[in-house]
Amino acid sequence: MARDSSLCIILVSIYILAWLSACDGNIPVGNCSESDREALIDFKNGLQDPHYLLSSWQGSNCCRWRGIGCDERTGGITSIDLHGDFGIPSLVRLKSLRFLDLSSNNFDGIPIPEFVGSLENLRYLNLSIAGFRGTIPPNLGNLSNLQYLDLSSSYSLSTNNLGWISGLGSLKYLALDRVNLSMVSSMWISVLNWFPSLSELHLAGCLLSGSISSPGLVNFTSLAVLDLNFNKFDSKFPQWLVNVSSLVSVDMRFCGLYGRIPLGLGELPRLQILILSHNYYLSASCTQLFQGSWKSIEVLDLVSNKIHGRLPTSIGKMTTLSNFDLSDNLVGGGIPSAIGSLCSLVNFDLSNNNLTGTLPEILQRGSEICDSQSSLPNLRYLRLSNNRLRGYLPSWMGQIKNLEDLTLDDNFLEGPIPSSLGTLKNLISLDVSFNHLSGILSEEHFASLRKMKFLVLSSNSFTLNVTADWMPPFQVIQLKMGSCQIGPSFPAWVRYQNEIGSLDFSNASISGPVPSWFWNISSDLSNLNMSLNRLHGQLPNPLPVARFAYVDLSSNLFQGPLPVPISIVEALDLSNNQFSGGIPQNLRKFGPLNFLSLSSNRITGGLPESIGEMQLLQVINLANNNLSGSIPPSIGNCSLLEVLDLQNNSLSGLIPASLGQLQELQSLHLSNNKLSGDLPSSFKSLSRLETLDIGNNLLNGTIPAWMAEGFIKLRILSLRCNAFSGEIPHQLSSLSSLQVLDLAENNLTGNIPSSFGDLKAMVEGQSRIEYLFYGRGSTYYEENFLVTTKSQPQLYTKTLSLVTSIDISRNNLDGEFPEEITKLAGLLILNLSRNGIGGQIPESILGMSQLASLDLSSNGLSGAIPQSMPSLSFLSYLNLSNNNFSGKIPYTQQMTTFEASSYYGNPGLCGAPLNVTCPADEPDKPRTTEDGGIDNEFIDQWFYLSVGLGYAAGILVPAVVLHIKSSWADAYFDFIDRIARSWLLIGNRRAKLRRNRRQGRR
Amino acid sequence: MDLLSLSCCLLAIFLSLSPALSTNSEGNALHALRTGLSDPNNVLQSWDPTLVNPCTWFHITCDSNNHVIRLDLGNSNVSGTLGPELGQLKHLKYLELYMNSLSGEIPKELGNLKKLVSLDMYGNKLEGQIPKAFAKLKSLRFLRLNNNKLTGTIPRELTALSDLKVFDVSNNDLCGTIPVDGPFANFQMESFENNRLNGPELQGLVPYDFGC
Repeated sequence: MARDSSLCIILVSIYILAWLSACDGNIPVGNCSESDREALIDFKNGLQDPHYLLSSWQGSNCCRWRGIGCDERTGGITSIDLHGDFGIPSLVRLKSLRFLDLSSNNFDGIPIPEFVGSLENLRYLNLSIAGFRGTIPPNLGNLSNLQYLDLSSSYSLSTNNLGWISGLGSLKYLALDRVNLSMVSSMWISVLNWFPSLSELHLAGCLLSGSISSPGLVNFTSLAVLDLNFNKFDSKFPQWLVNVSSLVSVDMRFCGLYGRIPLGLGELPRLQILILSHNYYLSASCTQLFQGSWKSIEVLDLVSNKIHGRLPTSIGKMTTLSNFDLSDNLVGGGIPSAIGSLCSLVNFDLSNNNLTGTLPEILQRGSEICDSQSSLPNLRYLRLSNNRLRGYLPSWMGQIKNLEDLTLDDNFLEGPIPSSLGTLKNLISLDVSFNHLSGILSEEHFASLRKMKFLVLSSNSFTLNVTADWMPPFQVIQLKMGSCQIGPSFPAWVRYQNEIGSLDFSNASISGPVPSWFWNISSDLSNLNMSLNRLHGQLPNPLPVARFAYVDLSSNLFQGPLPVPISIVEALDLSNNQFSGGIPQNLRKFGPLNFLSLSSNRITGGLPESIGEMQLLQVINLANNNLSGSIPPSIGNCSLLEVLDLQNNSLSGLIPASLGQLQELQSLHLSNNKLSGDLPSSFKSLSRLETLDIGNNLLNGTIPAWMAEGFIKLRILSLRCNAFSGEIPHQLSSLSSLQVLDLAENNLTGNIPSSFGDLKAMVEGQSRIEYLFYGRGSTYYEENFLVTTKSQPQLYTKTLSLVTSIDISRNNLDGEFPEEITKLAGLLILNLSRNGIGGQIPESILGMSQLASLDLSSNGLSGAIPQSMPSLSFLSYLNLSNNNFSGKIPYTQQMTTFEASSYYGNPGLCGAPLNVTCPADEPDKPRTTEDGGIDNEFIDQWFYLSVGLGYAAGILVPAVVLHIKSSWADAYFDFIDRIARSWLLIGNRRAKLRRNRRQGRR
Repeated sequence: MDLLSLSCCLLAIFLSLSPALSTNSEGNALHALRTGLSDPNNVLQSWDPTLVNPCTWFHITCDSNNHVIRLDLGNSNVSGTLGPELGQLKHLKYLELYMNSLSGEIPKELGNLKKLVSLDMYGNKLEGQIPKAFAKLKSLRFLRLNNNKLTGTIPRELTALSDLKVFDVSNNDLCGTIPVDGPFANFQMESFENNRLNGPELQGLVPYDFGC
C-alpha cells in the first residue's frame, strides 16, 4: 500500500519531530485501558491486512502494539501512527489521541471521516495524500489544540470557506496543498493572519485566484515558510510581505503575479529562499534589487520574470548565495567581476537575457568571510547562453575547479577557447555553440576532460588539430561539432566513442569515404548529422543505424544505390548527393519514417506503390530527380502527410484524385513534370493547404472557383505555364492568406477581376518574418518557391513569408487596368505584361508603397505615366515598354533610376531618359536630360563634324599656299565667303526638317 | 579514384571561388550595413545573412550573375552611420539612400564603386566632407547630396566626372567657390544654394577654398 517510499521517509521524519515537540512523554510505555484496547481490536477487524502489518496487535498491553503511543501516567492512547501502511480506522473512541498520521494511504476516495473533528486532544493531524475525496468536514475547526495540520491532497479535496480554520488557535503548521480552494473568499489571507504562532503555510496548487489582498494589520509574527506556488492569482506582488520579518522561505512560482518586486525583500534578515519564477509580468530593476542587504539569502530563483537593468557590483556581498537563477529575463549590461566573491555560489544562470559587453577579464578574489582564496570555489553550473556577450573567453574559466556545466551558446563571443578549460576535471557539459569563436582545438584542450559527456562546439570557426592516433580521455554521449574544420580525412578518434548517441559533423570539411568501422561504434547512435561535407563512396546497404534514428547525410557526394536502414528510422535525409538507381520497391522496411528526403539525386524509375504503407510520413521530398511514370494513388493513404514535393521530375499521367484525402497536407509541389488533365475536384477538401505549386505541366481546364472556399489557408498558388483557359474566377479574392499568385503563361481570357483589390494578405503586406518549416525535430522541410521578380527568377526560402506577388503575364487577358489593384499596399511584385490590357495607370498607384518590381510591358495601356510614381521609393524594376503611353515622363526622385529601356516602344512619350524633347520644353535646353539615345544624334553630329573638318582643311591648305603667294589671297577669301554663306543656308534648312519630323511622330 | 576525388576537389574549389565568393562578400558588406543601422520600420528584416546570396533580400537588386547592382532604401526611416564595407559592392549602379536619418561621414570607400551611376543621399544628416574619392566614379551621372550637414569645399577633382548630369549639394554647410570646369559648366545655381559658397571660381584670382 505504501505508494511512495520517499514520501514515507519524509513523513517519518516529520513524525519524529512532531513526537518530540507535540507528544509529551509517550516513549516510556504504560498499560493501556481495556476500552482503548477493544477499540483498537475493532479497528483492526475492520481492516484488510494482507501483509500482516498488524500482527503485533495482540496481547493485553496495547501500548506495545506497533504504531501505538500511550500516555505514561494514564495509559491513555495518545498516538496512532499508521502512515503509509494502513486502512480506514474507526478511532472515534480514542478521546485522548494527540497524534494521528494516516498519510500516504489509499482510502479509495472516501470523505475525511467526521469523527476526526471530535478527537479534541489532537495536536498533530496528517491526512495528506491518503486518497480522501470530497469536502473537508468543517468540524475539524473543533480541534483547538491542533498545531500541525496537513490535508494536502491530489486535487481531490475541497472546501468552500476557511471559516472552520479560525477555531484552530494553536496552529503552527498548515498545509492544504492541492486542496481546491477556488470557492473560498479572496479574504483567506485575513483568516490566516489570526494565527500568531503560524510558522509554515503551504497552499500550493489550491486554484486560488484573484488578487492577494492585504490582511490589513500584519499579524504573522512567526511565519517562516510561505508556499503559494502554482496558483492562478492575477495579483500585484503582496507588498505587506516585507513586514513579515520572520520569513525564511517564500515560494510563489507560477502565481500570476505582476507589478514590482518590493526592494524591502532584500532587508528581511532571515530570508534564505526566494522563488518567484514564471510570474511573467513581475518586474524589478536588477540594479536596485541587489543593492539590498540579502543577509541570509541562499536561493534566488527569478526565472521568467521581467527583471531588467544591470547587475550591480554590490552583488559580491551576497556571500551566502548558492543558487542564482535569473534566466529568461531582460537583464542587460555586463557581468561584474564582483561575482568572484560569491564563494558559496553553486549555480549561476543568466541564460536568455540581454547581457552585452565582455566577460570580466579578472574575477574578484573570494572574500574573507568564506575563507577561500580562489574565486567561485563551489561553482558547478555556469550558464550564460543566448545573450549578446562579446569578446574573448577569460582564462579564469579554466580555474573553476568544480565546474560541471559551462553553457555559453548563442552569444557573440570570439577568439580561441583557452586551453586551460582542458584542465576542468569535473566538466560534464560544455556548450559554446553559435558564437564567433575560432582558433585551433588541440589535444590539450581536452586533456583532463575525463567526465565530459556533452560536448557542443557547433557553429563556430574552430579547426580541430589532433594527431592521427589521438585517444580522447572522454566517452561522450553528445558530440556536436558542426561547422568545425575536422577534415580533410574522417576523424579516427571517433572510433572509441562507444557511448555516442548524438553526433553532428555537419559542414566539417571532411572528405573521402566513411570508414566501415564507423557504422559499428555505438548501438545508441540515434542522431547522426554528417551533411554538407565531401564524403563519397557507397553507403553500406543495409545502413546500420539505431532504432528510431534521425539520419542526415545530405549534401555530400555519396554514390551508388539508395541504402535501406537496418532498423526502423524516423527521419532519413539523403538529399543532394549522387545516389542513382530506383527507390526500393518495399518501403515498409523503412518503418515508422516521418521524414524522407531523397531530393537532388539521380534517382530513376517510378514511385513504388508501397509508399502508401508508410503512414507516419509527414514529409516526402523527391524533388530534382529523374523519376518517371505516374504518381501512385496510394500516396493518398499517408494520412499525416504535410509536404509532398515531387517537382522537377518526369512524372506523367493525371494528378491522382486520392491526394484530396490528405487532410494534413500543407505544401504540394508538382511543378516541372509532364502531368496532364485537370485539377481533381477532390482537392477541395485540402483545407490546410498553404502551397499549391503545379506550374510547368500539361494541365488544362478552367481555374476552379471552389479553390476560394477550399483552400482557406493558401499562401502560394502557382498554375504557371500550363494550358489553363477561361476567366480568372473573381472568388479567388477571398483567399485571405494568398501572398503569391502566379498564373503566368496560360490561355486565360477576360478581365483581371476588380475584386483582386481585396486580397487581404497583399493589402496588408507581411510585416513579420515567419519561417515556413514543416516536419519536426532537427530534420525539417524548408518551404521554397521560385518567384519571378525584376525579370529574373529567384528562389525564396527563409524570407518567403514576406513575399507578395501577382504574376499574370503572358495570357490573353483584356479589359481595363484594374484600378482596384492599387489598393494592394503591401504588394511587392506586379507583372501583367504581354496581355491585351488597356486603360491607364491611375495616380492611386502611389498607394502601392512597397512595390519593388512593376512590369506592364506589351499591353495596350495609354495616357500619361502618373506624376505620383517618382514617390515609389522602393521601386527598383520598371518596364512600361511597348504600350501607348504618352506625355512627359515624370523624371524625378526614384524615376531617375530607370533608363530609356523601361519606356521603349511608346511613341507618344517624351522627356528624359528618352532622347525625345517634349514640345513645351523645346526652347529651354534640357538641363537634366540624359543622352539615352545617342544613335539618333550620331549621324547629325558626324555630318557637322565632317563638314567642319573639311571646312578647316579647305581653308588651311590654301592659306598655307597663299601665305607664300599673297597676291592670290584676296581673290581666294572672297570665294570662301560666298561658299560659307550658302552652306549656312543648308544647315538651317536641315534643322527645320528635323523639328518637323519629331512633331509628326507625336 | 584519387584522380576522381582530386577533380571533385578542384571542381568544388572552383565553384566556391567563382561567383559565390564574390556574392558572399557583397552579402557580408550589406549585413555590415544593416548592423550599423537602426530600422524602426523593419524594412531590413529580410536581410538574412545565412542565405547563399543577398539577391532575395528586399531592396536589393542583382544582375543575372547574382551581383548586387541596386540598393533602394530611399524614404525608409533608417538611421545610423554608413561603414566602409559599402565600398565592397563593386557592381553597384544605383545607391539610393535619400530621405532618411543617416548621420556621420560619407565613407570614402564609396569611391571604389566604379560602376555607380546614381548616388542619392539627399535629405539625411550626413556630416564631414564630400570625399575626393568620388572623382573615381567615372560612370556617375547623378550625385545628389543636398539637404545634409556637409562641410568643407566641393572637391575640384569632381570636375573630372565627365558623365555627371545632375549634381545637387544645396542646403549644406559647404564653403569655398564653385567649380566651373567639366560638367560643372552646365549646373544651375540652384544646385549650390544655401551654403557658404562664394560664387563661381575665378581661376588664378581667388583660391578655391576662399572663405573656408
